[in-house]
Amino acid sequence: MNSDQSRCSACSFGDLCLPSGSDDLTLGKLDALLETTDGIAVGRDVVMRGDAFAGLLAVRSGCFKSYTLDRDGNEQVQGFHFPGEIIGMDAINSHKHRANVQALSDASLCEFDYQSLLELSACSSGLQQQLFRLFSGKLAGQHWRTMDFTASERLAAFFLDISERLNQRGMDGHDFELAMSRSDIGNYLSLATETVSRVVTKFKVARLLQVDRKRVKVLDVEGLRHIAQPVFDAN
Amino acid sequence: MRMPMPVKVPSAETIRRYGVSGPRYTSYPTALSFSPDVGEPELRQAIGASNDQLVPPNLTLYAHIPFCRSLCYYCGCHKKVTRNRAVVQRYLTALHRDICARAAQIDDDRIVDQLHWGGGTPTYLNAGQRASLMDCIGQAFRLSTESTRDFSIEIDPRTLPASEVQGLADIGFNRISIGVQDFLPAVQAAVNREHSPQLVDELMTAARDANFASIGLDLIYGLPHQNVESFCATLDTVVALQPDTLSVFNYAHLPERFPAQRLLRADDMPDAQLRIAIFRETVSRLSAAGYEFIGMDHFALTDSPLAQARRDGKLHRNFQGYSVGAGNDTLGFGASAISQVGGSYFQSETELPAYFDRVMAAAGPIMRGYVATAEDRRVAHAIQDIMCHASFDKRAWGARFRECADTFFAAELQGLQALASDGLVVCGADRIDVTPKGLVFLRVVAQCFDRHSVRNDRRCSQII
Repeated sequence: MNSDQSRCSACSFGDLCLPSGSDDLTLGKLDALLETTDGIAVGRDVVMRGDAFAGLLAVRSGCFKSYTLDRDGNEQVQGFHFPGEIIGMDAINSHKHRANVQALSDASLCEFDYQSLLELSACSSGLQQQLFRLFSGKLAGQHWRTMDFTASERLAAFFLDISERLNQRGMDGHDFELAMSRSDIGNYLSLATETVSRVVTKFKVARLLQVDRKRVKVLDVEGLRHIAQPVFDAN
Repeated sequence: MRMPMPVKVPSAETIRRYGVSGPRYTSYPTALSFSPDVGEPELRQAIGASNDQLVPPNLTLYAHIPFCRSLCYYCGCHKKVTRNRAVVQRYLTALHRDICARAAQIDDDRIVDQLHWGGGTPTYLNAGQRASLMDCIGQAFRLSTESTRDFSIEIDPRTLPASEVQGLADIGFNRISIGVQDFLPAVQAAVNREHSPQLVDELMTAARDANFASIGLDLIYGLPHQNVESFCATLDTVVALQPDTLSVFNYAHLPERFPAQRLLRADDMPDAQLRIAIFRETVSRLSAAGYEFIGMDHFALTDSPLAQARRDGKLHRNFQGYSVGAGNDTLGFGASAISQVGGSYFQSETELPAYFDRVMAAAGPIMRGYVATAEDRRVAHAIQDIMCHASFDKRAWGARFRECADTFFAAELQGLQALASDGLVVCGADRIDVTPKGLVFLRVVAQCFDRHSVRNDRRCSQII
């Protein structure tokens, strides 16, 4: 039996995560099948590519990145994951994880046994719909990264995306500490690390952002949105 | 934009009351807090975190050349008096490895816009050695090509012929500081450092011909045979030479720590009262001669970049004193050199054999240091503000750290009340301002914020 804080019914990210839309009966069953892992240290890989897929992972606190390594050992960052977000959906088909998952800050995770989740969703339309929403949302959110956008457009979209995701979680989306490094950001957006800093400096000078180490204050949301418009239009 | 800082010459009585020992705050915490538990791994971690910042700070490089041809008896620096070429060559080989190993840890888009060679005596190296050291640095790091870069070297006027000044510019230096200390022959003889004003004049003329952006002179008071009249004569000669910046250091006589100082006779030194008189006269003469008080022991011509930076709130304090442009990470190379990365400090082996061993074994030269805590960063920010801008902006501090300065510094602000009642500071709701009368006591004000300090610690030098 899990403690109160690690129950879906008591989780503050429930509205974004798996339980969203589930009735009390389903919630109780979700509580029973989830396993939580606390105290994951920054830098730890919690999943390695090729690991057998057992269940969906939900970020409970902190931030993670998923990444792959190419033949030469070069890292390719696939995404960043915030509390309430689900990791491991791309492993459902192949039954194997397709990316490594690393904690970018001290963090904790919830794991939902996939088989039990499927059985539960068969008799809960709310859970079924939420699973479907999460799958399709994941697909829609990704494809712009492979399209032809300028560095400014990519970074403006990136900061707005982070800001919005934090806002959705009831966190401060206008003044936040990034967990990822500039090289992670550059890698994720297919930009040289140096370009990330150059564009951020440009944003600073234009008073769009205020930056101190990895802390970002968004000063001008509309200004960023204007720059990122081509990215939003393509989505 | 701030007004030029009007310094008020304090009364002898105020100086007597506040002229207690205190740190110089070229770092916070000071080197007294360094621990042997901090080494290479901690520095690497700090560099990694710095590389990861959205916009990593630019770099300041410091290269320490510990060698001297002869001993100056007042010296408290890490140095080695030698004529042994083999030792020097060995050192340059180690320095080269030290630089290359560190550079490999730094993201290659980070720009070096400040560079400083100190000593010992950097001009102990001959022109060929200097060029090859600069070449090594230039290959290992990305050096700024902007004219605003600050690449400086300390010059011992006895070791560098004026004909070689152009060569310093050719390899990239644009600032020099010349160690004068005092022009009075009796003082020079007593401290074993003799050179004429003509020599300094020739060097300065050559530096101006070579378009150096700034020329600084260093003086020391508190040395044997100095008195108010003699020091004023030196000041007059110095003012006539019109250096852009001037440092007037107070000699710290600590023979138990610096054995060379045992060669100076304490009986010949000006007493506390005389030192106070010399200091007061120095402040008043230099102010009258158009030199702005920058802080601590530094003065600069009103139109110099340093004075401009002070007015613009862009002054920064580090191990080299005051510089323009805040927030750089400093990487120190060579024996005893100190690196400062992300608010933490790391010092290399001070003894040459140990330095050689560590560097050649690729073990990294760090022997001690201090890893800053969140609390240290908060205090360091306030102390920087006071040392560089003679004020503490509580609002800006609060916005940066998302905390209430009045709460965090409750005890410190209470402690400042004594200074306020003596008219050295004015405590407002949003800021603490040091008054013109308090300007020469910046370190006393800063010490009120210092949570590491032990008052009147005898290892610190006298303020005045």
